[in-house]
Amino acid sequence: MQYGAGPQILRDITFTLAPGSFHFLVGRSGAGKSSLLKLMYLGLRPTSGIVSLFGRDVASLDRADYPAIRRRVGVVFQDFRLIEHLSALDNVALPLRVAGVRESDIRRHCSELLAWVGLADQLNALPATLSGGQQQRVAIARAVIARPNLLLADEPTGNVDDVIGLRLMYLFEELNKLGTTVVVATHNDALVSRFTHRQLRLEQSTVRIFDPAQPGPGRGPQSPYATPATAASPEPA
Amino acid sequence: MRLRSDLPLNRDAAARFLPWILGFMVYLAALAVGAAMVVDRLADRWQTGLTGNLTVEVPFDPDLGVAEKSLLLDRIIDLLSATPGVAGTTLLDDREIARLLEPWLGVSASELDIPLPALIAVTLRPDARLDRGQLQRDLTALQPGARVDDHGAWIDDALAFLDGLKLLAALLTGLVLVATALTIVFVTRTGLSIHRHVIEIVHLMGAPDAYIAQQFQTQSLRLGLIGGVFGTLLAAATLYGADYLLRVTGPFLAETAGNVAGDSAMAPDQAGGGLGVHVKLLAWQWGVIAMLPFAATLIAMISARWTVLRSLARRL
Repeated sequence: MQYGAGPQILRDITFTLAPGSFHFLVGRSGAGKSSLLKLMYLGLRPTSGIVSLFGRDVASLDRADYPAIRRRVGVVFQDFRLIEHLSALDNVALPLRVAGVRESDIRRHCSELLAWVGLADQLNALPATLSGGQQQRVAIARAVIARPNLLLADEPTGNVDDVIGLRLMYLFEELNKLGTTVVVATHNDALVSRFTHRQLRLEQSTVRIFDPAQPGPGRGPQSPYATPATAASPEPA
Repeated sequence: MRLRSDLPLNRDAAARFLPWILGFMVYLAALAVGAAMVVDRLADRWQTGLTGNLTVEVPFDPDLGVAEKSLLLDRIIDLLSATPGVAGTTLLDDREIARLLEPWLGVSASELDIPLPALIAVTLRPDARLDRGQLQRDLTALQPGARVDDHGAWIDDALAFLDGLKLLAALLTGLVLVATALTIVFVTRTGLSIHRHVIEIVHLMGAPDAYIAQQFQTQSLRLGLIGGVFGTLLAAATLYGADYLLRVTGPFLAETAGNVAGDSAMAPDQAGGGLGVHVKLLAWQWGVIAMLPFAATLIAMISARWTVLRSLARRL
Protein backbone atom coordinates (compact mmCIF):
# COMPACT_ATOMS: atom_id res chain seq x y z
CA MET A 1 0.00 0.00 0.00
CA GLN A 2 1.31 3.45 -0.81
CA TYR A 3 -0.15 6.93 -1.08
CA GLY A 4 0.65 8.55 -4.43
CA ALA A 5 4.38 8.39 -5.07
CA GLY A 6 5.13 8.12 -1.33
CA PRO A 7 6.92 5.23 0.34
CA GLN A 8 5.21 1.90 0.64
CA ILE A 9 3.61 1.94 4.05
CA LEU A 10 2.28 -1.59 4.07
CA ARG A 11 3.96 -4.42 2.22
CA ASP A 12 4.49 -8.15 2.39
CA ILE A 13 1.40 -8.52 4.52
CA THR A 14 -0.59 -11.71 4.47
CA PHE A 15 -3.14 -12.67 7.05
CA THR A 16 -6.62 -14.02 7.28
CA LEU A 17 -9.13 -13.10 9.95
CA ALA A 18 -11.26 -16.10 10.77
CA PRO A 19 -14.95 -15.36 11.14
CA GLY A 20 -15.79 -14.68 14.75
CA SER A 21 -12.17 -13.97 15.73
CA PHE A 22 -10.98 -11.09 17.92
CA HIS A 23 -7.71 -9.32 17.16
CA PHE A 24 -5.89 -6.34 18.50
CA LEU A 25 -4.01 -4.37 15.88
CA VAL A 26 -0.98 -2.91 17.60
CA GLY A 27 1.96 -0.86 16.46
CA ARG A 28 3.52 2.53 16.99
CA SER A 29 1.66 5.50 15.69
CA GLY A 30 2.41 5.94 12.00
CA ALA A 31 3.00 2.23 11.58
CA GLY A 32 0.04 1.99 9.22
CA LYS A 33 -2.74 0.76 11.53
CA SER A 34 -5.30 3.18 10.17
CA SER A 35 -4.30 2.48 6.57
CA LEU A 36 -4.67 -1.24 7.13
CA LEU A 37 -8.13 -0.65 8.60
CA LYS A 38 -9.04 1.57 5.64
CA LEU A 39 -8.18 -1.27 3.28
CA MET A 40 -10.58 -3.41 5.27
CA TYR A 41 -13.53 -1.01 5.24
CA LEU A 42 -13.16 -0.09 1.56
CA GLY A 43 -11.89 3.37 2.41
CA LEU A 44 -8.83 2.68 0.24
CA ARG A 45 -8.01 0.35 -2.59
CA PRO A 46 -4.71 -1.50 -2.34
CA THR A 47 -2.08 -0.26 -4.82
CA SER A 48 -0.98 -3.87 -5.20
CA GLY A 49 -1.92 -7.19 -3.70
CA ILE A 50 -5.27 -8.67 -2.89
CA VAL A 51 -7.77 -7.71 -0.24
CA SER A 52 -10.71 -9.98 0.01
CA LEU A 53 -13.77 -9.31 2.14
CA PHE A 54 -16.45 -11.88 2.92
CA GLY A 55 -14.96 -14.09 0.25
CA ARG A 56 -14.91 -11.45 -2.48
CA ASP A 57 -11.84 -9.87 -3.98
CA VAL A 58 -12.18 -6.11 -3.46
CA ALA A 59 -10.58 -5.40 -6.85
CA SER A 60 -13.37 -7.31 -8.55
CA LEU A 61 -16.10 -5.33 -6.82
CA ASP A 62 -18.23 -2.94 -8.74
CA ARG A 63 -19.04 0.40 -7.19
CA ALA A 64 -22.64 -0.75 -6.83
CA ASP A 65 -21.48 -3.67 -4.66
CA TYR A 66 -19.88 -1.40 -2.05
CA PRO A 67 -22.98 -0.43 -0.04
CA ALA A 68 -23.98 -4.03 0.68
CA ILE A 69 -20.46 -4.89 1.86
CA ARG A 70 -20.02 -1.71 3.87
CA ARG A 71 -23.24 -2.43 5.74
CA ARG A 72 -21.62 -5.60 7.02
CA VAL A 73 -18.65 -3.65 8.35
CA GLY A 74 -18.90 -1.38 11.40
CA VAL A 75 -16.15 1.20 11.82
CA VAL A 76 -15.12 3.29 14.82
CA PHE A 77 -13.00 6.04 13.36
CA GLN A 78 -10.10 7.44 15.30
CA ASP A 79 -11.46 10.94 14.84
CA PHE A 80 -15.06 9.67 15.38
CA ARG A 81 -16.34 11.32 12.19
CA LEU A 82 -19.72 12.09 13.65
CA ILE A 83 -22.01 14.25 11.54
CA GLU A 84 -21.96 17.58 13.30
CA HIS A 85 -25.49 18.78 12.60
CA LEU A 86 -27.15 15.51 13.61
CA SER A 87 -28.06 14.59 17.17
CA ALA A 88 -26.35 11.67 18.91
CA LEU A 89 -29.44 9.59 18.19
CA ASP A 90 -29.50 10.49 14.49
CA ASN A 91 -25.79 9.77 14.17
CA VAL A 92 -26.27 6.32 15.65
CA ALA A 93 -29.35 5.82 13.49
CA LEU A 94 -27.49 6.45 10.24
CA PRO A 95 -26.47 2.85 9.42
CA LEU A 96 -30.04 1.70 10.03
CA ARG A 97 -31.52 4.52 7.97
CA VAL A 98 -29.34 3.84 4.96
CA ALA A 99 -30.35 0.19 5.28
CA GLY A 100 -34.01 1.21 5.17
CA VAL A 101 -35.01 0.07 8.68
CA ARG A 102 -38.38 1.34 9.90
CA GLU A 103 -38.26 4.65 11.77
CA SER A 104 -40.05 3.34 14.88
CA ASP A 105 -37.56 0.47 15.23
CA ILE A 106 -34.66 2.84 14.66
CA ARG A 107 -35.65 5.07 17.54
CA ARG A 108 -36.09 2.18 19.95
CA HIS A 109 -32.82 0.42 19.09
CA CYS A 110 -30.75 3.58 19.09
CA SER A 111 -32.00 4.91 22.40
CA GLU A 112 -31.46 1.52 24.02
CA LEU A 113 -27.89 1.32 22.78
CA LEU A 114 -27.09 4.91 23.70
CA ALA A 115 -28.45 4.24 27.19
CA TRP A 116 -26.20 1.18 27.36
CA VAL A 117 -23.10 3.26 26.62
CA GLY A 118 -24.21 5.76 29.28
CA LEU A 119 -25.65 8.47 27.08
CA ALA A 120 -29.35 8.10 27.91
CA ASP A 121 -29.54 11.81 28.72
CA GLN A 122 -27.74 12.93 25.55
CA LEU A 123 -29.96 11.45 22.85
CA ASN A 124 -30.66 14.81 21.26
CA ALA A 125 -27.31 16.41 21.97
CA LEU A 126 -25.23 17.58 19.03
CA PRO A 127 -21.71 16.13 18.86
CA ALA A 128 -20.12 19.54 19.49
CA THR A 129 -21.78 19.71 22.90
CA LEU A 130 -20.45 16.30 23.93
CA SER A 131 -17.08 15.59 25.54
CA GLY A 132 -14.47 13.63 23.60
CA GLY A 133 -15.30 10.48 25.51
CA GLN A 134 -19.02 10.91 24.90
CA GLN A 135 -18.43 11.46 21.19
CA GLN A 136 -16.35 8.32 21.10
CA ARG A 137 -19.18 6.33 22.64
CA VAL A 138 -21.62 7.73 20.08
CA ALA A 139 -19.17 6.68 17.35
CA ILE A 140 -18.96 3.20 18.83
CA ALA A 141 -22.72 2.92 19.15
CA ARG A 142 -23.00 3.91 15.47
CA ALA A 143 -20.46 1.25 14.50
CA VAL A 144 -22.25 -1.57 16.27
CA ILE A 145 -25.93 -0.60 15.92
CA ALA A 146 -26.46 -2.59 12.71
CA ARG A 147 -24.79 -5.74 14.16
CA PRO A 148 -21.98 -5.82 11.60
CA ASN A 149 -20.18 -9.03 10.65
CA LEU A 150 -16.87 -7.22 10.95
CA LEU A 151 -16.14 -4.47 13.47
CA LEU A 152 -13.08 -2.30 12.93
CA ALA A 153 -12.24 0.06 15.79
CA ASP A 154 -9.43 2.59 15.50
CA GLU A 155 -8.25 3.60 19.00
CA PRO A 156 -11.77 3.22 20.38
CA THR A 157 -10.71 3.80 23.96
CA GLY A 158 -8.32 6.66 23.37
CA ASN A 159 -10.53 9.36 24.87
CA VAL A 160 -12.24 7.56 27.72
CA ASP A 161 -11.14 6.68 31.22
CA ASP A 162 -10.17 3.12 32.08
CA VAL A 163 -13.54 2.19 33.51
CA ILE A 164 -15.43 3.22 30.38
CA GLY A 165 -12.64 1.84 28.20
CA LEU A 166 -13.10 -1.57 29.76
CA ARG A 167 -16.86 -1.31 29.46
CA LEU A 168 -16.50 -0.61 25.75
CA MET A 169 -14.12 -3.55 25.37
CA TYR A 170 -16.74 -5.76 27.01
CA LEU A 171 -19.27 -4.44 24.49
CA PHE A 172 -16.91 -5.53 21.69
CA GLU A 173 -16.49 -8.93 23.34
CA GLU A 174 -20.27 -9.33 23.60
CA LEU A 175 -20.58 -8.61 19.89
CA ASN A 176 -17.72 -11.01 19.21
CA LYS A 177 -19.54 -13.75 21.11
CA LEU A 178 -22.54 -13.13 18.89
CA GLY A 179 -20.33 -13.87 15.89
CA THR A 180 -18.86 -10.51 14.87
CA THR A 181 -15.24 -10.52 13.78
CA VAL A 182 -13.50 -7.74 15.72
CA VAL A 183 -10.31 -5.83 15.09
CA VAL A 184 -9.34 -3.20 17.67
CA ALA A 185 -6.42 -0.96 16.72
CA THR A 186 -4.72 0.55 19.74
CA HIS A 187 -1.37 1.56 21.09
CA ASN A 188 -2.60 1.16 24.65
CA ASP A 189 -0.41 -1.76 25.82
CA ALA A 190 -2.04 -1.81 29.24
CA LEU A 191 -5.41 -2.44 27.65
CA VAL A 192 -4.07 -5.13 25.30
CA SER A 193 -2.36 -6.95 28.13
CA ARG A 194 -5.64 -7.31 30.05
CA PHE A 195 -7.04 -9.52 27.32
CA THR A 196 -5.82 -12.69 25.72
CA HIS A 197 -6.86 -11.92 22.18
CA ARG A 198 -4.48 -12.40 19.29
CA GLN A 199 -2.47 -9.41 18.20
CA LEU A 200 -1.67 -8.23 14.72
CA ARG A 201 1.61 -6.42 15.23
CA LEU A 202 2.51 -3.85 12.63
CA GLU A 203 6.24 -3.29 12.54
CA GLN A 204 8.33 -1.89 9.70
CA SER A 205 5.35 -1.84 7.30
CA THR A 206 4.59 -5.47 7.74
CA VAL A 207 2.48 -7.53 10.10
CA ARG A 208 3.24 -10.31 12.54
CA ILE A 209 0.65 -12.25 14.43
CA PHE A 210 1.21 -12.75 18.12
CA ASP A 211 -0.91 -15.07 20.18
CA PRO A 212 -0.64 -14.42 23.93
CA ALA A 213 -2.02 -17.90 24.56
CA GLN A 214 0.99 -19.40 22.77
CA PRO A 215 4.00 -17.30 23.80
CA GLY A 216 6.72 -16.77 21.23
CA PRO A 217 6.95 -14.28 18.37
CA GLY A 218 5.74 -14.98 14.92
CA ARG A 219 3.15 -17.55 15.83
CA GLY A 220 -0.12 -17.37 14.08
CA PRO A 221 -2.36 -18.97 11.56
CA GLN A 222 0.00 -18.06 8.73
CA SER A 223 3.57 -17.09 8.30
CA PRO A 224 3.71 -13.31 8.17
CA TYR A 225 6.32 -13.29 5.44
CA ALA A 226 4.56 -15.58 3.02
CA THR A 227 3.67 -13.60 -0.11
CA PRO A 228 4.00 -9.99 -1.17
CA ALA A 229 0.31 -9.37 -0.90
CA THR A 230 -2.15 -7.84 1.48
CA ALA A 231 -5.01 -10.07 2.36
CA ALA A 232 -7.66 -9.50 4.93
CA SER A 233 -10.43 -11.92 4.36
CA PRO A 234 -12.87 -12.34 7.18
CA GLU A 235 -15.38 -14.90 6.01
CA PRO A 236 -19.03 -14.24 6.75
CA ALA A 237 -19.95 -15.24 10.25
CA MET B 1 -40.97 11.15 0.29
CA ARG B 2 -38.45 11.34 3.10
CA LEU B 3 -38.07 14.91 4.23
CA ARG B 4 -35.43 14.58 6.91
CA SER B 5 -31.92 14.96 5.66
CA ASP B 6 -28.54 13.67 6.76
CA LEU B 7 -26.84 16.43 4.81
CA PRO B 8 -27.21 19.98 6.16
CA LEU B 9 -28.37 21.24 2.77
CA ASN B 10 -30.81 23.67 4.35
CA ARG B 11 -27.93 25.66 5.77
CA ASP B 12 -26.19 26.16 2.46
CA ALA B 13 -26.28 29.55 0.81
CA ALA B 14 -28.04 27.75 -2.05
CA ALA B 15 -31.04 27.12 0.16
CA ARG B 16 -31.47 30.87 0.50
CA PHE B 17 -30.97 32.00 -3.08
CA LEU B 18 -32.27 29.03 -5.01
CA PRO B 19 -35.97 29.79 -4.40
CA TRP B 20 -35.36 33.30 -5.73
CA ILE B 21 -33.62 32.05 -8.85
CA LEU B 22 -36.19 29.35 -9.46
CA GLY B 23 -38.99 31.82 -8.78
CA PHE B 24 -37.50 34.25 -11.28
CA MET B 25 -37.07 31.51 -13.89
CA VAL B 26 -40.65 30.32 -13.48
CA TYR B 27 -41.85 33.93 -13.60
CA LEU B 28 -40.11 34.46 -16.95
CA ALA B 29 -41.32 31.13 -18.31
CA ALA B 30 -44.90 31.86 -17.22
CA LEU B 31 -44.80 35.28 -18.87
CA ALA B 32 -43.41 33.81 -22.08
CA VAL B 33 -46.01 31.05 -22.13
CA GLY B 34 -48.75 33.56 -21.27
CA ALA B 35 -47.59 35.86 -24.05
CA ALA B 36 -47.55 33.00 -26.54
CA MET B 37 -51.12 32.15 -25.60
CA VAL B 38 -52.26 35.75 -25.88
CA VAL B 39 -50.66 35.94 -29.30
CA ASP B 40 -52.32 32.69 -30.27
CA ARG B 41 -55.77 33.99 -29.34
CA LEU B 42 -55.03 37.27 -31.03
CA ALA B 43 -54.15 35.44 -34.24
CA ASP B 44 -57.47 33.60 -34.07
CA ARG B 45 -59.35 36.80 -33.50
CA TRP B 46 -57.66 38.71 -36.28
CA GLN B 47 -58.23 35.87 -38.64
CA THR B 48 -61.95 35.56 -37.88
CA GLY B 49 -62.31 39.35 -37.67
CA LEU B 50 -60.70 40.01 -41.02
CA THR B 51 -61.98 37.03 -42.92
CA GLY B 52 -65.47 38.34 -42.10
CA ASN B 53 -64.68 41.45 -44.09
CA LEU B 54 -63.83 42.54 -47.58
CA THR B 55 -62.99 45.87 -49.03
CA VAL B 56 -63.98 46.73 -52.58
CA GLU B 57 -61.93 49.44 -54.17
CA VAL B 58 -63.52 51.29 -57.10
CA PRO B 59 -61.27 53.67 -59.08
CA PHE B 60 -63.00 56.20 -61.29
CA ASP B 61 -62.25 57.75 -64.58
CA PRO B 62 -61.34 61.37 -63.62
CA ASP B 63 -63.72 62.68 -66.30
CA LEU B 64 -66.74 60.93 -64.82
CA GLY B 65 -69.52 63.16 -63.51
CA VAL B 66 -70.96 63.00 -60.00
CA ALA B 67 -74.27 61.50 -61.13
CA GLU B 68 -72.53 58.84 -63.20
CA LYS B 69 -70.27 58.00 -60.30
CA SER B 70 -73.21 57.63 -58.00
CA LEU B 71 -75.04 55.44 -60.49
CA LEU B 72 -72.02 53.20 -60.90
CA LEU B 73 -71.60 52.83 -57.15
CA ASP B 74 -75.27 51.99 -56.71
CA ARG B 75 -74.96 49.24 -59.30
CA ILE B 76 -71.86 47.86 -57.58
CA ILE B 77 -73.55 47.93 -54.17
CA ASP B 78 -76.58 46.18 -55.66
CA LEU B 79 -74.28 43.55 -57.09
CA LEU B 80 -72.54 43.08 -53.76
CA SER B 81 -75.80 42.91 -51.82
CA ALA B 82 -77.10 40.28 -54.19
CA THR B 83 -73.97 38.16 -53.79
CA PRO B 84 -74.60 35.12 -51.56
CA GLY B 85 -72.85 35.39 -48.16
CA VAL B 86 -72.76 39.18 -47.99
CA ALA B 87 -74.40 40.56 -44.86
CA GLY B 88 -74.04 44.24 -45.53
CA THR B 89 -72.16 47.01 -47.32
CA THR B 90 -71.00 50.43 -46.24
CA LEU B 91 -69.78 53.09 -48.60
CA LEU B 92 -66.97 55.00 -46.92
CA ASP B 93 -67.32 58.75 -47.31
CA ASP B 94 -64.48 61.00 -48.47
CA ARG B 95 -63.58 62.06 -44.93
CA GLU B 96 -63.02 58.49 -43.85
CA ILE B 97 -60.94 57.75 -46.89
CA ALA B 98 -58.88 60.85 -46.23
CA ARG B 99 -58.36 59.71 -42.63
CA LEU B 100 -57.15 56.33 -43.86
CA LEU B 101 -54.76 57.93 -46.30
CA GLU B 102 -53.46 60.42 -43.77
CA PRO B 103 -50.52 58.28 -42.59
CA TRP B 104 -49.26 58.09 -46.16
CA LEU B 105 -50.25 61.40 -47.67
CA GLY B 106 -50.35 63.73 -44.67
CA VAL B 107 -53.13 65.73 -43.03
CA SER B 108 -54.02 67.68 -46.10
CA ALA B 109 -54.59 64.65 -48.31
CA SER B 110 -58.14 65.73 -49.03
CA GLU B 111 -56.90 69.10 -50.29
CA LEU B 112 -54.68 67.48 -52.87
CA ASP B 113 -56.37 67.30 -56.16
CA ILE B 114 -55.90 63.61 -56.74
CA PRO B 115 -58.57 61.18 -57.72
CA LEU B 116 -59.48 59.00 -54.77
CA PRO B 117 -61.12 55.64 -55.30
CA ALA B 118 -64.39 54.82 -53.61
CA LEU B 119 -64.12 52.22 -50.89
CA ILE B 120 -66.93 49.87 -49.95
CA ALA B 121 -66.64 47.87 -46.75
CA VAL B 122 -68.38 44.54 -47.12
CA THR B 123 -69.40 42.46 -44.10
CA LEU B 124 -69.75 38.74 -44.69
CA ARG B 125 -71.91 36.24 -42.87
CA PRO B 126 -69.84 34.15 -40.45
CA ASP B 127 -70.41 30.95 -42.44
CA ALA B 128 -70.11 32.60 -45.83
CA ARG B 129 -68.32 30.75 -48.60
CA LEU B 130 -67.74 33.52 -51.03
CA ASP B 131 -66.59 32.84 -54.57
CA ARG B 132 -64.06 35.60 -54.68
CA GLY B 133 -63.01 34.97 -58.27
CA GLN B 134 -66.59 35.22 -59.53
CA LEU B 135 -67.14 38.43 -57.57
CA GLN B 136 -63.99 39.93 -59.03
CA ARG B 137 -65.11 39.05 -62.56
CA ASP B 138 -68.55 40.54 -61.98
CA LEU B 139 -67.00 43.73 -60.66
CA THR B 140 -64.58 44.02 -63.54
CA ALA B 141 -67.52 43.73 -65.93
CA LEU B 142 -69.21 46.71 -64.27
CA GLN B 143 -66.06 48.80 -63.81
CA PRO B 144 -62.63 47.75 -65.06
CA GLY B 145 -60.07 48.36 -62.29
CA ALA B 146 -62.45 47.61 -59.42
CA ARG B 147 -60.69 45.34 -56.97
CA VAL B 148 -61.74 43.00 -54.16
CA ASP B 149 -59.33 43.13 -51.24
CA ASP B 150 -59.91 40.34 -48.74
CA HIS B 151 -56.85 41.36 -46.65
CA GLY B 152 -55.30 37.99 -47.49
CA ALA B 153 -51.79 39.37 -47.82
CA TRP B 154 -52.15 41.46 -44.71
CA ILE B 155 -53.46 38.49 -42.73
CA ASP B 156 -50.64 36.27 -43.98
CA ASP B 157 -48.07 38.85 -42.93
CA ALA B 158 -49.73 39.43 -39.59
CA LEU B 159 -50.03 35.72 -38.89
CA ALA B 160 -46.41 35.14 -39.87
CA PHE B 161 -45.43 37.89 -37.46
CA LEU B 162 -47.53 36.37 -34.69
CA ASP B 163 -46.08 32.93 -35.42
CA GLY B 164 -42.65 34.49 -35.04
CA LEU B 165 -43.65 35.88 -31.67
CA LYS B 166 -44.91 32.46 -30.58
CA LEU B 167 -41.68 30.83 -31.66
CA LEU B 168 -39.74 33.45 -29.74
CA ALA B 169 -41.82 32.78 -26.63
CA ALA B 170 -41.30 29.04 -26.97
CA LEU B 171 -37.57 29.58 -27.39
CA LEU B 172 -37.50 31.80 -24.31
CA THR B 173 -39.39 29.21 -22.27
CA GLY B 174 -36.97 26.52 -23.42
CA LEU B 175 -33.96 28.67 -22.51
CA VAL B 176 -35.42 29.40 -19.08
CA LEU B 177 -35.91 25.70 -18.40
CA VAL B 178 -32.37 24.90 -19.57
CA ALA B 179 -31.05 27.68 -17.34
CA THR B 180 -33.01 26.19 -14.44
CA ALA B 181 -31.45 22.79 -15.03
CA LEU B 182 -27.95 24.28 -15.30
CA THR B 183 -28.43 26.27 -12.10
CA ILE B 184 -29.44 23.11 -10.26
CA VAL B 185 -26.47 21.22 -11.69
CA PHE B 186 -24.13 23.95 -10.48
CA VAL B 187 -25.74 24.23 -7.04
CA THR B 188 -25.77 20.45 -6.62
CA ARG B 189 -22.10 20.20 -7.54
CA THR B 190 -21.31 22.89 -5.01
CA GLY B 191 -23.35 21.03 -2.40
CA LEU B 192 -21.55 17.78 -3.15
CA SER B 193 -18.26 19.55 -2.73
CA ILE B 194 -19.21 21.36 0.49
CA HIS B 195 -20.56 18.21 2.10
CA ARG B 196 -18.06 15.72 0.75
CA HIS B 197 -16.96 14.71 4.25
CA VAL B 198 -20.49 13.98 5.40
CA ILE B 199 -21.18 12.19 2.11
CA GLU B 200 -18.07 10.06 2.65
CA ILE B 201 -19.29 9.09 6.11
CA VAL B 202 -22.76 8.27 4.84
CA HIS B 203 -21.14 6.20 2.08
CA LEU B 204 -19.00 4.33 4.58
CA MET B 205 -22.16 3.54 6.54
CA GLY B 206 -23.27 1.65 3.45
CA ALA B 207 -25.47 4.24 1.76
CA PRO B 208 -25.89 3.76 -1.98
CA ASP B 209 -25.52 6.81 -4.22
CA ALA B 210 -29.29 6.91 -4.68
CA TYR B 211 -29.69 7.55 -0.94
CA ILE B 212 -27.56 10.69 -1.25
CA ALA B 213 -29.23 11.70 -4.52
CA GLN B 214 -32.57 11.43 -2.72
CA GLN B 215 -31.54 14.11 -0.26
CA PHE B 216 -30.57 16.54 -2.99
CA GLN B 217 -33.77 15.72 -4.84
CA THR B 218 -35.88 16.42 -1.77
CA GLN B 219 -34.12 19.73 -1.35
CA SER B 220 -34.82 20.62 -4.99
CA LEU B 221 -38.44 19.64 -4.54
CA ARG B 222 -38.84 21.92 -1.54
CA LEU B 223 -36.99 24.94 -2.93
CA GLY B 224 -38.44 24.45 -6.41
CA LEU B 225 -42.01 24.48 -5.14
CA ILE B 226 -41.45 27.52 -2.94
CA GLY B 227 -39.80 29.51 -5.73
CA GLY B 228 -42.01 28.17 -8.50
CA VAL B 229 -45.32 28.89 -6.81
CA PHE B 230 -44.25 32.44 -5.95
CA GLY B 231 -42.95 33.01 -9.48
CA THR B 232 -46.21 31.78 -10.97
CA LEU B 233 -48.37 33.91 -8.68
CA LEU B 234 -46.28 36.93 -9.59
CA ALA B 235 -46.59 36.12 -13.29
CA ALA B 236 -50.38 35.75 -12.96
CA ALA B 237 -50.49 39.14 -11.27
CA THR B 238 -48.37 40.60 -14.08
CA LEU B 239 -50.65 39.15 -16.77
CA TYR B 240 -53.69 40.58 -14.99
CA GLY B 241 -51.93 43.91 -14.71
CA ALA B 242 -51.12 43.87 -18.41
CA ASP B 243 -54.75 43.10 -19.22
CA TYR B 244 -55.88 46.03 -17.09
CA LEU B 245 -53.39 48.38 -18.74
CA LEU B 246 -54.44 47.29 -22.22
CA ARG B 247 -58.07 47.84 -21.39
CA VAL B 248 -57.32 51.34 -20.19
CA THR B 249 -55.12 52.25 -23.14
CA GLY B 250 -56.92 49.98 -25.63
CA PRO B 251 -59.04 52.57 -27.46
CA PHE B 252 -56.02 54.77 -28.02
CA LEU B 253 -54.00 51.83 -29.30
CA ALA B 254 -56.82 50.82 -31.61
CA GLU B 255 -56.96 54.24 -33.15
CA THR B 256 -53.24 54.35 -33.69
CA ALA B 257 -53.10 50.84 -35.05
CA GLY B 258 -56.16 51.45 -37.19
CA ASN B 259 -54.43 54.42 -38.74
CA VAL B 260 -51.24 52.54 -39.27
CA ALA B 261 -53.01 49.57 -40.78
CA GLY B 262 -55.00 51.93 -42.91
CA ASP B 263 -57.80 49.49 -42.87
CA SER B 264 -61.32 50.43 -42.02
CA ALA B 265 -62.37 46.83 -42.02
CA MET B 266 -60.69 46.43 -38.68
CA ALA B 267 -62.44 49.27 -37.04
CA PRO B 268 -66.00 48.01 -36.62
CA ASP B 269 -64.90 44.68 -35.28
CA GLN B 270 -62.37 46.06 -32.87
CA ALA B 271 -64.23 49.12 -31.75
CA GLY B 272 -65.01 47.82 -28.27
CA GLY B 273 -61.84 45.94 -27.48
CA GLY B 274 -59.04 48.11 -28.68
CA LEU B 275 -56.63 46.19 -30.87
CA GLY B 276 -58.13 42.95 -29.77
CA VAL B 277 -55.04 42.47 -27.62
CA HIS B 278 -56.64 41.04 -24.52
CA VAL B 279 -54.48 39.31 -21.95
CA LYS B 280 -57.49 37.19 -21.15
CA LEU B 281 -56.54 33.56 -20.98
CA LEU B 282 -58.87 30.59 -21.14
CA ALA B 283 -59.16 28.21 -18.20
CA TRP B 284 -56.97 25.57 -19.81
CA GLN B 285 -54.33 28.18 -20.55
CA TRP B 286 -54.23 29.20 -16.90
CA GLY B 287 -53.99 25.49 -16.19
CA VAL B 288 -50.87 25.21 -18.33
CA ILE B 289 -49.30 28.17 -16.55
CA ALA B 290 -50.24 26.67 -13.18
CA MET B 291 -48.34 23.50 -14.18
CA LEU B 292 -45.13 25.46 -14.79
CA PRO B 293 -43.82 25.47 -11.19
CA PHE B 294 -44.33 21.73 -11.04
CA ALA B 295 -42.61 21.21 -14.37
CA ALA B 296 -39.69 23.38 -13.22
CA THR B 297 -39.53 21.48 -9.92
CA LEU B 298 -39.51 18.17 -11.76
CA ILE B 299 -36.68 19.41 -13.96
CA ALA B 300 -34.82 20.58 -10.85
CA MET B 301 -35.23 17.18 -9.17
CA ILE B 302 -34.10 15.27 -12.23
CA SER B 303 -31.10 17.58 -12.68
CA ALA B 304 -30.13 17.17 -9.02
CA ARG B 305 -30.41 13.39 -9.13
CA TRP B 306 -28.50 13.14 -12.39
CA THR B 307 -25.73 15.41 -11.10
CA VAL B 308 -25.33 13.50 -7.83
CA LEU B 309 -25.25 10.08 -9.47
CA ARG B 310 -22.83 11.23 -12.14
CA SER B 311 -20.49 13.02 -9.73
CA LEU B 312 -20.45 10.24 -7.16
CA ALA B 313 -19.79 7.59 -9.80
CA ARG B 314 -16.40 9.23 -10.31
CA ARG B 315 -15.46 8.88 -6.65
CA LEU B 316 -14.19 5.77 -4.90
